[in-house]
Amino acid sequence: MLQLIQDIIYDVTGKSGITYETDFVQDLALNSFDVMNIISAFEEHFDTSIPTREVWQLHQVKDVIAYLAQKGFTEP
Amino acid sequence: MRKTLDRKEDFSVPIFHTFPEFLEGIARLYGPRPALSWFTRRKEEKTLSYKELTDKVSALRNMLLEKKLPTGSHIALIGENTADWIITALAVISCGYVAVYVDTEQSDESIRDMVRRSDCRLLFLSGTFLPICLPLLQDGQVSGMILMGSKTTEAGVEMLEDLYAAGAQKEVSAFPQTDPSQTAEIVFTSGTTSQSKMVLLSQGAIMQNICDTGTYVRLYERVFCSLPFYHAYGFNTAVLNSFLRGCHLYINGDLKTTMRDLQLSSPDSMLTVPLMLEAIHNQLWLGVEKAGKAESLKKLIQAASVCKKFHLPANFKTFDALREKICGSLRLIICGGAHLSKEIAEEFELLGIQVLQGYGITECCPLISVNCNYDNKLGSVGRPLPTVELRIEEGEVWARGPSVMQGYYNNPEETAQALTSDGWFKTGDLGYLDKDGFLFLTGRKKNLIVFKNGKKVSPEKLEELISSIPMVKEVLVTGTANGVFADDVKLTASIYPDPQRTEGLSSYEILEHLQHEVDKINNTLPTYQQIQLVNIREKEFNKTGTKKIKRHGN
Repeated sequence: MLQLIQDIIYDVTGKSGITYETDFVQDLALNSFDVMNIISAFEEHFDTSIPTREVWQLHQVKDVIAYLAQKGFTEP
Repeated sequence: MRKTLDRKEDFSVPIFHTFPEFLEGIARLYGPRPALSWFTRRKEEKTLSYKELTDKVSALRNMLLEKKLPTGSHIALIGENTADWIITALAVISCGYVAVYVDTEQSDESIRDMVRRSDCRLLFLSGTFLPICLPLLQDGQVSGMILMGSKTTEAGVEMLEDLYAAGAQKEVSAFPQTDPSQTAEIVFTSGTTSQSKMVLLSQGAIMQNICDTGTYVRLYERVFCSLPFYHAYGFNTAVLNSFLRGCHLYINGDLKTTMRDLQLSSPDSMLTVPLMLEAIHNQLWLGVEKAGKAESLKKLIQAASVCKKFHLPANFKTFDALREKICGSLRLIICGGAHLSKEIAEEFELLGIQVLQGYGITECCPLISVNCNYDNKLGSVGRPLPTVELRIEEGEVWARGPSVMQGYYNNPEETAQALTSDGWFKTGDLGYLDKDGFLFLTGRKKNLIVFKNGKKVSPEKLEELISSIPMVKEVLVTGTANGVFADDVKLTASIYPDPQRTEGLSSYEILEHLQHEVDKINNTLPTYQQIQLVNIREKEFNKTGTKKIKRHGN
């Protein structure tokens, strides 16, 4: 799953070196618009919809992984 | 060269005084034309014609009138930008009720508080806000809820789809007697310091404002709007104005899909805020830099600027190609809500995209002034609308006219402070009118930094200068207490550096570079206006609903 997230973030922002603890805003210095574009890429990949108000709580990569797992999405 | 509008005859608009008149008018004038489109998550385009749109409004009005609520009842709208939101607002207001626009970017408790404070007994809400607002129904604080865009089995919650279907089976009921002085909207101001105020806007005030706007700004055929509808700029200026002209409006309300929908809809006109315009501008330059053509484009822009200065033609083919690639058929951008850098506007103009900056405030419906397609002065916020009187009182912009609010709901003290006895509204913004009657804004009164020597400076002015440093993404200038006397302040610039321009640099290197650039700016300013401290932020600033940097709480 981490590899997939790394790929998505690289595609959207060009940023690499992502770990579980990477914070989108503090470590990658992304603004709210960038974060939304990444979430949009996740939505497309998993064919799901992540409500905007729930995005506010996804600060780190591990938060996204936990969120997707809770929704039943796991990468084979 | 593309056609640009330069004749005043292109600017005649139908004139309406109430929402029922407006609805009858747009159905009659534009019936079969496409009115409203949006894209589903799977990129399918959905469209309603003017006839379909107004038929849905009529169907919902039938059902609302059956509830026999007293005229002037407050009804809340809580949801994302959707066609249902627009239809509901139009139905509520044309029944003679008051539509209360709840700011959905607030916390759960703030949303419930807004419903309580505005005395709403009936709510229209989307699925996202149902669990947040259900306690209000269960506690009896509201008497009914209508769900927009999804289904539910919750007791006491009706579904909008059912109301449309039932209402469409009935004879279209006549509009209730409506007077222009009736309150139509309650809009929350995005106050940054204290509790938000509830602005009362009448039917006549809103209609006057959109008709006035239409005489200054000519939108083309396809209009894109991602501004939140719960702000007067989003609903009154963008949505209603677009309908007034019979345009085809594409709506989006989710940052996740804004850029996608902007491309899919391929608009020729767009209403937006500086943050979004700067994002498009950044995309444009990133694309150019990736293609290794940044230097040549910079030179070309310089050359075009010189040509423009001497009134020589500057329509280079490179600009046309770039515009088509990045911006599609976009040729008009209306920008408001916050200060826009003149340099960015100039670059868009050179690319052949006109940028019209305007100025508004919720309490004025909102538009006060705007540039015209045929008379645009960059850096200004345009001339006052035809029925808006402007006066500059000790540097502060005061506005008077039929678009001024009725007052703040349940707040006579604040109303008395904001409105003079002879009808002037004190905007709290500082500005001046030039010899041609264009308004220029210089700052906000409440943000004035006052120095011990009695001199004052508006932080916005300094922020604009610092924003011109390429490495700066966002900046906030504040007056920090010096510790000696209460009014002895030093100016501090807190800067959020552009991460794309600081990649690989240490914090120390970034600070050193910024300090050097700020020193250069300081050299051009009187001593008291010089920035004394530069701070670097690791996070972007918190923003209000209209994407303005919050001056407090950052």
